Amino acid sequence: MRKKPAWILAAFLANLALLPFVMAPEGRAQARGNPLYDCCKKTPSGNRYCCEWCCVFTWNCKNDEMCNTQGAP
Amino acid sequence: MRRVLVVSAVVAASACDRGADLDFPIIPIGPLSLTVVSAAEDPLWEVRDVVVHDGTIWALTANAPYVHGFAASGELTSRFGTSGEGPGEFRFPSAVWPGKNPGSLTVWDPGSFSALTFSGYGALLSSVHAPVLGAIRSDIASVTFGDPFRAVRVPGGLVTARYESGVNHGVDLWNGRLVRIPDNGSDPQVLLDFATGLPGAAMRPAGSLLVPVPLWDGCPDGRIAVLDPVARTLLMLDSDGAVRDTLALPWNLAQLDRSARVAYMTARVRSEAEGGSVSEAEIVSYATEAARTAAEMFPVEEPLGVDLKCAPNTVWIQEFDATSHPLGHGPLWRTVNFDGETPSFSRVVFPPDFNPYRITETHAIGVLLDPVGLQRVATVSLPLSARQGPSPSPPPQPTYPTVVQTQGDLDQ
Repeated sequence: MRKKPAWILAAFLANLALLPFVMAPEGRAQARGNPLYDCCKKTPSGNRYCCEWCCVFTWNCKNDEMCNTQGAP
Repeated sequence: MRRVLVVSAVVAASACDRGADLDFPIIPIGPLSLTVVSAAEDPLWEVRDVVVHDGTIWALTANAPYVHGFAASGELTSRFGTSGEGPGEFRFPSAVWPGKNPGSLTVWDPGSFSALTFSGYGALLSSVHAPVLGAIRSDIASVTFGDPFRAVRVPGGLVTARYESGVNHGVDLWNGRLVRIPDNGSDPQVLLDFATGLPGAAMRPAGSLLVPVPLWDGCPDGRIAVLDPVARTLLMLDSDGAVRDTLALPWNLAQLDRSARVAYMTARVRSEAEGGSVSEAEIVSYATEAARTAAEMFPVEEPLGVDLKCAPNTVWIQEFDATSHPLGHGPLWRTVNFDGETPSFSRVVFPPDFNPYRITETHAIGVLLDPVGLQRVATVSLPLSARQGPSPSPPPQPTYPTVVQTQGDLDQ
């Protein structure tokens, strides 16, 4: 994509701002805000789930159901 | 009897660089020691394990056909393994070891939590199912050098790690427990809980990216070698989990520099952008910014090791090398040899692009990577001098914020 929409860059930078909270201990984790890092992953058994803070660049889910609906990423 | 080995000779060096390591002999292995076994007409890719059994070199790959057998001459003698959920089919095979019957082969599949044994021609002979061992993100190999899918054969069962809370990040590997799954179907026996049994667990860095994680492997004599990369300790367990030896490792670590952080983040972003149309320049730009913004999420020091192989009387630990791979896999390995009264150390440099999977007293068996990513089964003959080296000094204490310190800060 030659011209990347500005929102992608903005969202990416928002992810960066949240990166320090990715694996923050419990007390600090309360301050995370929206989990922009979440993205669909699967286990070796083939089960798809929404993986918390798993992506830096992409995000596509907030719960497991979003990864299991038709046309899910 | 538990035997504690702490060797106290002095190796003059600062605690902040690799000066001490420079005193250990570096043993290069020249290209003449490398023998490529499989033919260029039979290329492999994404090899997950290699083992030699009854004259056949078996390679396990990530895609069907999963199992490839080669004669010593290089001839492809067997190829089988389909993807599916039926008997004898694979979901996510990750390891192989010799079967009990001559010529047979057992494949460990953490996708179905089962060990499947085949004849040399691919006929399913038996299968043993293990309990659920935890949900592990299937692409975890792009995130951490730790290997949550590792499994080894020990007398009377198999040993693998159980992650009840799942594995989504490298740091989750500290929550694993080594378990022995008996052949007789009885309940798994916990051999070692990384979070409570390794002293380094409480001292590990508070970040989450490129963090040091426990590494382990089964040894030919049935013992299990476990590296605590934070306490810089090597533990030798017997097959019941009893600690037989504890060895303080004398190695100092270099600082994790900016280029290593950028290389890691670039690989992460590139992996996530795969299939899209993001330009390489954008990937590098984003990754560079991410590495800068998230610098505190990386450890201060390079990980002590990124892989561990246990050979007869020698434990091999792969050094972190960001110039070779974003996760630090490079040609330089440290060895700990237990042949003598006190352990000895050396550093060995494998030929470029050779990745060992199994190491014997005389050879390493693995794959050679070509420039387009295809792999060929290869062996490397090892020099005898790989076992020699000076005595170590005690490891220095961590000089970075640890998990315990961070939690303490939050409590205040």
